[in-house]
Amino acid sequence: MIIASGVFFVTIIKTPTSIVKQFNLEKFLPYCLKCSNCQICPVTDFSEDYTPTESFVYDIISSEDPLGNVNLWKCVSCHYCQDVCPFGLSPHNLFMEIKAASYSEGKSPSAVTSLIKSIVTTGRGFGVSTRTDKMREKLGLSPLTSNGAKDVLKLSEITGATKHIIIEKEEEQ
Amino acid sequence: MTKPNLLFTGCLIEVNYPYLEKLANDLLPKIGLGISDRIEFMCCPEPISFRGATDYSWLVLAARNLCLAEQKGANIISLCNGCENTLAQANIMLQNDPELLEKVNRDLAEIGFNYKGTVKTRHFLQAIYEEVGLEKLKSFVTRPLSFLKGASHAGCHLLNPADILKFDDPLDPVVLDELMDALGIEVIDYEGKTLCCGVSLATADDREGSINALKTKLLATQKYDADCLIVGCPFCFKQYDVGQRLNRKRLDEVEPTPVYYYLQLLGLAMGLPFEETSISTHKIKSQAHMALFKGEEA
Ligand code: SF4
Ligand code: SF4
Repeated sequence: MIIASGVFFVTIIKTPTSIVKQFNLEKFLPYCLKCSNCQICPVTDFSEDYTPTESFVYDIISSEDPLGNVNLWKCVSCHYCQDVCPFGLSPHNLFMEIKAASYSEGKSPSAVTSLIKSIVTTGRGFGVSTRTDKMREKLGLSPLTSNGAKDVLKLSEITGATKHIIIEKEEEQ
Repeated sequence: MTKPNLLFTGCLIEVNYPYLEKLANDLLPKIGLGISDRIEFMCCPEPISFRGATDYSWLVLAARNLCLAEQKGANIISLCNGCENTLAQANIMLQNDPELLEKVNRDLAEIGFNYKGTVKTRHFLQAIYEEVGLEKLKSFVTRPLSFLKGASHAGCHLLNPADILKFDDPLDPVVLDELMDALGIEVIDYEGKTLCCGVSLATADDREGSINALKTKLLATQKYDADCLIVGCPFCFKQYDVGQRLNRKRLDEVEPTPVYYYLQLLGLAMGLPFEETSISTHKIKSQAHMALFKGEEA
């Protein structure tokens, strides 16, 4: 089926105006004509569920539930789409905005939530085990501490990163 | 007066690959990039999911790390593409936008910090390329690794956004190739140099996509007869090395391909004993390479 760009406009405009407004899509609409340069996106090559039929913007926005669209979080922020867009649009930046909304509505994948929780509570994306301690000791490297973790948690709290996760406070006190 | 450099290892290296931290500490000063005593940074933080979910907190936590370097009057040399990607982007945002800097500083004041914007951050490959330079780098090579046919993988987050990372042409990268050539490595030019490693797809619950990315890359390098992949990012390293082991059954058309982090090869080319590279701890090992790495010691 050949879809003329006019139809594309109509379809996009048919999406809830709140979405168009929420993500400032007005700036995309006059330009983003499925030129498909942004099909350079690596995720389109590798991910079987992520096969845009039109442009990225179209596919995410026109889905039933843009914020809950699992494909959204597959964007690896490589920025290639931004490099190649002849109109200087950035699907990446748009995806970032939608990711933020997705996260704040509790619609992000559980691995994302765990990563955020790990960073805000321990200061690191990965847990430190005795294996780490042993490896570092053997190499003559200083042991890892969590001295900065308190500050990281404080900054995360005041800037809102912890709003959507449950943090168990230490029992002893 | 040149500023001292602090090493920004990132979580993955300090926790899982501390031998790369050790190599950086030992080797970089030998080629003229002095490294000050370790200070403890916290997660950069992660530029994809963490930033996507919570952009402003990402910026403030990155600013906290930049402050730690500024307090020491130092610049940063990072060992991970993800860390450099975060630090470079956050730094530029803060340096170019006084209002944003002021807002961030109001939050940082809660922990007694303030960022002025004086820190320079570089990925170690960039620091070697720009500050040491290819000619001087070659002068440190005592054992050229001419038996390696290496395929470079610079990685998306070191290349993009190019106007901020300023490392190389993201559509046709050559800097890592030149750095490999300086060590005597035969550089394999192949189609697929800019393919994403795919490690982050797993965070979006897309394990299949992640395996496809791994496989596509390895088939590409294999087609051009590369006998190893060479990276400068611990996440790409983990994806290619551990990924090949974990997904062995799914990769039957693929020759197991060893993966080396650039500093390991720099060390070998400078005469470092094989044992000190920790290459023997990799999941994918080439006996032929290991014999040559050791053999040339004698
Ligand atoms: S490259 Fe730009 S204009 Fe073309 S489809 Fe992608 S975002 Fe739209
Ligand atoms: S930044 Fe995201 S949407 Fe753009 S090319 Fe990379 S993975 Fe695709």
